[in-house]
This record gives sequence, C-alpha cells and structure tokens, in this order.
Amino acid sequence: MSSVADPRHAGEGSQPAPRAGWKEVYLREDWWAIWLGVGIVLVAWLFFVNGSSIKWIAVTPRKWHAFAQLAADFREHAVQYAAQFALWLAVFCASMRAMGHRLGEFIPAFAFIYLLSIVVFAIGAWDQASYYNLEPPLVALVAGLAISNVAGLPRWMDTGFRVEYYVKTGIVLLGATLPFTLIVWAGPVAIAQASIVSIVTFLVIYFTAKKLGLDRRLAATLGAGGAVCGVSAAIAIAGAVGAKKEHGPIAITLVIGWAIVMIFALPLASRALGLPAGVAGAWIGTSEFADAAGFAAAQAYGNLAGHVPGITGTLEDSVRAFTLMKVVGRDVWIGIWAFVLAIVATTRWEAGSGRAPDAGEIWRRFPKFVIGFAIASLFLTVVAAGYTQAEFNKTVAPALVAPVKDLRTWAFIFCFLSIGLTTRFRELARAGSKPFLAFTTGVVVNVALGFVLSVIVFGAYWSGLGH
Amino acid sequence: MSRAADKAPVRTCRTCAHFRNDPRHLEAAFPGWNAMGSAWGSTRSDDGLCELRALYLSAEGSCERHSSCGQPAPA
Repeated sequence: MSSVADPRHAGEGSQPAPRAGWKEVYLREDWWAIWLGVGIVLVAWLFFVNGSSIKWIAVTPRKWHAFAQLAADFREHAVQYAAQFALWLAVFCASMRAMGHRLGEFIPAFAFIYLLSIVVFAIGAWDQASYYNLEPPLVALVAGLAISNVAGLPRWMDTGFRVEYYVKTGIVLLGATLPFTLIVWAGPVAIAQASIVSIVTFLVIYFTAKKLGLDRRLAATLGAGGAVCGVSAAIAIAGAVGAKKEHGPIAITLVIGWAIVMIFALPLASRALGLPAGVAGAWIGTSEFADAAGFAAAQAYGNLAGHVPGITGTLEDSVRAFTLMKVVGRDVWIGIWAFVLAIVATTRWEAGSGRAPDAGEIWRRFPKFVIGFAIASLFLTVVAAGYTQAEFNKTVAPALVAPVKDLRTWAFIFCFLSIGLTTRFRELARAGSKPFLAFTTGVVVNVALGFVLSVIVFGAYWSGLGH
Repeated sequence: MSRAADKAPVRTCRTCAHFRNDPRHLEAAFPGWNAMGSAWGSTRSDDGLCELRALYLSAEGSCERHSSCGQPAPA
C-alpha cells in the first residue's frame, strides 16, 4: 500500500480515503485493545516468573465500613494510585495519539474519569453497598448519565470517554481469567443458542418493519442492532446495505434506549427469579444489545452472588457466561451478517451502492479484539497447565490472575462511566413510532426467547459452567 | 493491493470528493454512536458518508456521480 490510512486525514476536504489495510493494527481500537490487554498479561507473567507480581500497581480500594477506614486506605496507597494512573495514562496516550485523537482533550478527560472511577470503586467497596443496591456498574452508569444530562460536560471531553476501547481492553484482560478449555467446551452451545436468538430476532424486527412500511435498509439496520451486537452491528449493516444517512442514528437511538433499560431490567428480573449467576449471565448475553451495556448488567448481577440470599454462583460465573454468549456467540458473526446482507442488498434490493460484495468483508469487519481475548485465554491456560490445582490457587491465582482481574475491573469501570457520560438523551435522533414499534417487537421476542433458552433449555448447563 | 493498482485511479467512493469516512466526522454525524460503539472499531471497516446522496456506504461502492477531486497520496 502506498497511501497512509490515517483517520486524522482520511476523508477530509478533497483527500481520498485510503484503505486501512495492515495499518489497521495501529489505527483501530480493536488492535490497540489487543496490544494493551495482551501486553499487560505478558508483563504480569514476566513479573510472576521472576518471583514478583504486578499487584502493587493493580491497587483497588479495600472493603471498608467507616469512612475513616477508607480515608486511611487511600492515604496508605496514594503512591500506588498515582503510579497506576500514570501507567494507564501513558499507554492510552500512546494509542490515542496513534489513532489521531487530540491528547490535549484526552488527558484532562481521562484524569476526570479516573477520579470518578476511584469514587465508584470506593462506593462498591463499602460493606453496605449490596444492601443498598449500590453495584459499581450501575452507580457508574447513573452517575455518568446524571453528569452528562443534568450538569453537562464540554463535548471535547468525549475524547477521553471511549466506551468501546475500554470495554474491548477489559474483554482481552478477561480472556486471561477464562480457561481456554472452557471457551472450546462452551463455545458451541453459546454459538447455537446465540444463533437461534439472533436469527429469530433479526427476522422479527425486519419483517415487522417491512410490514409497517419502513425502508428495507432501515429494517435490516434495526434488525442487526437488535440481533447481533447493538450499535456496532447496526452501523456495519447500514454500510453493507447502503442505508440512508438518517437510518444509522435511528437505530442508535433505539439500541441505546433499550440497552439502558435492559442494564437495569435484566438483573432485576434475574434477582426476582433467583437465577444462578451463570444462568443470568447467559440470559444477559443473549438479550442485551451492546457489549458495554451487557457487561454492566452481568457484572452488577454477579456482584450480588454470595451477598444476596438465593443467588448462587459467583461474579466470574456471570461474567464468563455473558462473555461466551455475547462475544463468542454473537459478536464474531457480524462480518458474515454484513456479507450476506450486502449480497441481498446488491442483488435483490438494487440499493445503488454500485459494488459487488466480496468475502473479504467478513475479515475486514471481524471484531479483532476477540483475537486478543483468545490469545490471553490460551496463554494463561498454558501457564496454568504447569501447576497443580493447589499450586495454582496458592501462587498463580493471587500473584498473576488476581492483579489482571483487578486491572480488568478498572477498564470496565472506565467503560461504564463512559456510557453515561456520552449518552445525552436530548441529542439522540428522533426514532419515530414505526421504527420504535418494530424494534420493540424484536426486544420482546429476544428477551422471552433468551429466557427460555438460558433458563429452561440450557439452564443446568449455564449454572454449572466451569465447575 | 499491488503498487500499480494503488496508483490506478479507481472510481470508487474511496476516491470520491463527496465521500467522508473520518471517524471523528462520522461520530459527530451519528449522535450517540460513541456511547455504545465506535467509529474507530474494526466492524465499521472503511465505510463512510456520501454527502451528495446522503447515504452511508462502503468505501468500495461507486456511482455515476463520482467526483475525482482527490488523488491517491503518493508512495
């Protein structure tokens, strides 16, 4: 390739927009999530094999009862928090600069979100947090929504609120806490269940929208948003079928609206039904619309396990089941959806995009961060294979896995706060009653079918996942 | 893509003056995209907006209203 696919210049003025090609590896968030996540895992392992650990820098607030305890904890670990902030800032600045973001905007915005994250962490570490339903993901989301919709923040701060980048980094780090054997073992079930729900949901939304007289390109965009992976899927399909400019924003409004409702509704329903953490995680993975929103819901419910009577399992059960269902079962197929719908659009709809779809689209649209997730999982599984279960629990888990898990939690908190901080309801496009009706019909079917498959058909499977 | 092909003036949206796929521009044009998605993500591929026809398209598309204002950057 002779030209530079630099988003800083692509498409500006009369300049052409060159193909990203291999330069995607430093121009896209997916690849940076891999470099960052796998890099952290490798550094953690290097410390571990040399008899040390990165746990010093993976600091989080300890459980506290009285405010004085919390204050003392922060005083004791102030240097560690400062070092951790500097580490996150350094790695994020390097990647954000490479992707063409302005560091003058990113640095103050990230400092803001880091300070807010400490507050959210501290609330979650309060020993009465579960009693008052103060789950960190939900606290972060509500706080972010309140700040952005009531107080308001300058738009330039969005540069530091990169929801997708943070959640992808968290997912790669999560790979290091998920045995690869579990992915291989549970993957086919997750794919089967997700495929059933995705196809049915897509068809319901698509044909309802068509019945209501909506443009089939909008119908497909809405269908993908509800069936595959939320906003990312809706936009990918919009491009594949050559949708009108206003179709994407309509789908975004509906996905965000329902995703936020589901962040609260699915954990509440799961709690009312007393579902095991793994089962609820699978249901959320099947029926939530976006990765970031789904992690918030799955983590919120997982935090209840062991603290609320009747909810069995662990936080890891919920997060693992969610990840298998959402990431392995649904996200990785977006390229195939786009390819198939591009063929339909160009051969049957005459959408006027003037191109012949090619199978390369499957790879180009593949969510590359999943590769990092698999690498991290495989690496830690190979490392763990050299230890007995007792040795693993005594040395590997606390010195290697636990700090990675803590850094993963930081990345997710950045993400949950960013969802709220970037969701400005009054700025979202008006969806209109017909798109709302079509999408909502799909939501109802999706949630009901997701419940039947996760709780009734595969309930025993998901509740026993990894045990 | 070969160097020769790279230099050839291909009349796709990618080389059209009406086509914009700068991620910053796209996120500004699609309110809420950054709240649960990202224009810097892989799933977008190189898609962008045709400002002339008000369509969101693949960079590999083309039409009779193509306008070659820009030329591929030199090697």
